[in-house]
Amino acid sequence: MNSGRITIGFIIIGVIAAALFFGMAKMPTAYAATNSNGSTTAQVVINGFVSITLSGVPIYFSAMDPGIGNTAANATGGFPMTVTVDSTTNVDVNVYMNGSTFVKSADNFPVENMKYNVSNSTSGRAWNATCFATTAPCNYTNAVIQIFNETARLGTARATSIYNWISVPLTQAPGTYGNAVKVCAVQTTISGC
Amino acid sequence: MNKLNVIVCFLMILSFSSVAMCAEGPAYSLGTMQPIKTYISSPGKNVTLTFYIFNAYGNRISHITLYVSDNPDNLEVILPPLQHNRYNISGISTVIDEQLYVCNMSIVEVKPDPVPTDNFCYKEPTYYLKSTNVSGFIPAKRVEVMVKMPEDAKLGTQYALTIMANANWYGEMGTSQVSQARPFTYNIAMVSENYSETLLPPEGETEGGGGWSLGLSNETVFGIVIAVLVIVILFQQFRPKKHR
Repeated sequence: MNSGRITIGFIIIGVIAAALFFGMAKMPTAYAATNSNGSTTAQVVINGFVSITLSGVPIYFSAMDPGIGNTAANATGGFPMTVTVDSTTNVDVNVYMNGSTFVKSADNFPVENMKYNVSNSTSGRAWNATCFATTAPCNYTNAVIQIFNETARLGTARATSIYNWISVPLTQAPGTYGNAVKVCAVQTTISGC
Repeated sequence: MNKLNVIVCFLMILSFSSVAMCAEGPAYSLGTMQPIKTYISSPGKNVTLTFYIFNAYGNRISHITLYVSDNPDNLEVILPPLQHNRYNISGISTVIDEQLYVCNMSIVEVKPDPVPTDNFCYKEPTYYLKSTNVSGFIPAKRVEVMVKMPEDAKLGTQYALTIMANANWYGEMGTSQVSQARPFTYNIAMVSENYSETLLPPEGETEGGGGWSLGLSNETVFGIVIAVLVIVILFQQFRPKKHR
């Protein structure tokens, strides 16, 4: 085969290649656009702050006889205790309280014997109130009560006073009992009580 | 009134003032900020979750312990190590187990420069946060939690995780000791490390390019045709010639 035939062969290859190429590609049928529009997204994150301050705590109850109902906590601790949603808070918050069992060595009595109210009135709720939220966010093991449902975005601190009473069972063994109270704030909105 | 009476009155006023100041009750404050809730990661990679804790309104040190409260997918979570710190609390030596402590640090108008180092409150790095609600900066401590994503995690999967911060305060012993808890929920989405984008045929049709029945792409067919032609030409060139 002489060089001429080789040349013809490569020309044929080139023509076939071009045909395949243009067959795959789309020939432009119009002039190029004089302008084009694109779009993208911009994003800004505003950080959410939650700040809660407790005062008037720990909750103190003076020594008492068993069987006495609705003994108020001390004025120096728990009567009232104050839960403040501080002014730095800029998101909706729900604030819950939960208490553990009162314990002294092998003796105990339920936290339901303690009652709270947002006013100085013994008609408040027991700590096992029916109005409680799901425990998932705060991982409570005992009954939880909701004390706040605030849209606190205005930059103003909001405080709630909580008065506490206790009723000790008549047959409760003497001694010093203690429990723990936990206040949990969740950055969310749940239809409240 | 002679000079002695004036001095006595002045001293009495000072003493009453100091008593009033000392009578301020305890205030237990827990402030938090979680900048990111959703993270993007890839299988086998590590993700560092962060949030901040501050104590701008309290007058007691907040002692923070952390735990994983919700981990449905059993992710491997590495919390900051527990410290066993010794404190002198009103003259009594006490050991407190905590991941970090946050002193009362009020909001400042200007970030201090340099940051004070002669105070144990600044032993850990201090960050200055800006809230939309207050002017100035909020001194805060940063918490970092590392999560190891599973090697066999499927792309497109979302993992949920909740870290709980508990704040405790010491000094007063009451009938009911009070603490605060704050949950931090996170979502971690699994994506591929390298970005790619291809157009798939409508559902039901076989995937492949150019409409070729064998499912070959146009580029593959083009290459095969060229290769065949080159082989044919070269064969013609180098095949043994018949001598007459």
